[in-house]
Amino acid sequence: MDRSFLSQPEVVAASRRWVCIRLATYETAAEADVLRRIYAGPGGVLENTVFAMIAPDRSRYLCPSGRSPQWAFRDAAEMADFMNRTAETYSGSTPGGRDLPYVANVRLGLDVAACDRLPLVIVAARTPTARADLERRLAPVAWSPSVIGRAIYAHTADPASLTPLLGRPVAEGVVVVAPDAYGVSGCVLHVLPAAATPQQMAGAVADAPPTTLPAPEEIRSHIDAGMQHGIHSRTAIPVTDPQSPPDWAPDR
Amino acid sequence: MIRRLAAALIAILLLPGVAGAAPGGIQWYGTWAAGAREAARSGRPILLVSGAPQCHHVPGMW
Repeated sequence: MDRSFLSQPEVVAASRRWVCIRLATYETAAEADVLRRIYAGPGGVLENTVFAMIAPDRSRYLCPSGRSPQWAFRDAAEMADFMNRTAETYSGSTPGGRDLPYVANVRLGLDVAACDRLPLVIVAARTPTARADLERRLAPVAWSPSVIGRAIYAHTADPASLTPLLGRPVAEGVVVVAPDAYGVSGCVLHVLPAAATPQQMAGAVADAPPTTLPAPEEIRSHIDAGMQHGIHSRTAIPVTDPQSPPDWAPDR
Repeated sequence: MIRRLAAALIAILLLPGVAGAAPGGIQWYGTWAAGAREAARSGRPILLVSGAPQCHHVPGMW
């Protein structure tokens, strides 16, 4: 995942006027098809990373697509400038009413939260009605200036499935978790009941300890330690990037 | 007066998430369906990226 552009303050600021979508490349076949249509490597294979800027009605690309922002922009300043100027052409956009930006499931949410070193906020609700009620209060919090970009979100209709993570069952509510380094478990920071107020939700997310992205030199030690401890990630669909190393534990 | 202002400022800074809180990064939609739906609803352009949240098949690192 790009570090040199997408984490730069000017690009982050410009992103507020865009709809930003980040997919796990090998999580679902349907999304892999979307990505492959946008960019595919030699032989038509899906590679680990894809980058694109697309019109709201998906009728056209707004800049050259490829593996990363570096394929279209010299630097973050140029990217941010382009994003700001482009947002102006869509300045009639409809504000407000944004849904919670969920990832596909809790398992992936833990992994992504670990990668980003952010807390994972889990909406646990057995019924669509209960879920909608929680989302109605939490969504404005998630998109508020003090909380935006500071958490990953997931939901589950089976709160009991969180028991291994929490050590006890949760009826319904909002759970804030600090993921471990590998995103396979986590430390529960807050368990908010279904009746929690938006202020309590905001406080719980803001209360997560601040972290920084790992330095490049930490990546190798992370991989080595993970292998030594047998911490292995299996993607939902096969990794097809020809530059990816072979699976060191294909039978896990 | 100055002492009261200083005390109030310290109280504000001690609120959770205020003192030392790093600004948030990009807020990402995690699924294509949800993001595309929001773009259509809002008329905002789409920034799309993808990556593998694992390195050498070890999770927790892009």
